[in-house]
Amino acid sequence: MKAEIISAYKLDDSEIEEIVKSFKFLKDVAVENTVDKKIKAGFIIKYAGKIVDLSISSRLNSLKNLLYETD
Amino acid sequence: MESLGIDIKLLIAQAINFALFFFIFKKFIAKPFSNFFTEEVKKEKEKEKILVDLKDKEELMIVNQNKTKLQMKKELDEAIKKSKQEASLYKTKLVAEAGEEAEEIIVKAKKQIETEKKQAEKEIKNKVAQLSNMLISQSFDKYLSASAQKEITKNILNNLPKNIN
Repeated sequence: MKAEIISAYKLDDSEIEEIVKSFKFLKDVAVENTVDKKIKAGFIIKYAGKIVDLSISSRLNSLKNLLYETD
Repeated sequence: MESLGIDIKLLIAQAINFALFFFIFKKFIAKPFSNFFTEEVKKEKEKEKILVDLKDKEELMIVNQNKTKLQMKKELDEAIKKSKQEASLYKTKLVAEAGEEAEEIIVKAKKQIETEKKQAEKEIKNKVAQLSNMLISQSFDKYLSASAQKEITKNILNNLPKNIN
């Protein structure tokens, strides 16, 4: 089963390696990098039904939600 | 006796005549008259008694009428007083109810104003949030260079806890 790393630009090998190192569940897993400019910056990991969203777009959404919720 | 001019026979006849007259008068004239008078007096007394009774009754009736009038007036006054009191109470109740209703309306209106105000604030906040988000998003699209994106990736990785499962 492949893991998907979505980023706003094409990640180089060193960056992919760093990401794999940081996440234990990516060890010994084939990784595929997909580019999606909508996420602005950062990355999203999708693997076995698990999603790790470290993108700037999600931070922006969080910020937007925070603004909505603040009284 | 004869020398005195008194005729004894005539005297006896007169005496008998008088006795007879007395007997007849008493039996047939004096007694019925007496009875008649007694009866008349009795009737008069009865009439007077009846009149007195009637007068008493009339007075009693007048007294009773007055009493009844007074009682009726008293009852009427009581009823008017009671009605006035009830009307006053009802008025007070109505005023109180109107006051309560007015208070309720004011409270409702205040609540509605507060809700609408909150809703408006929320909408403005949402608009501001949307606008801010849109501006930031557009700024990122416009000014985020490839090197900056790489720097962000690096920064994220550096700030991650080690060996995440």
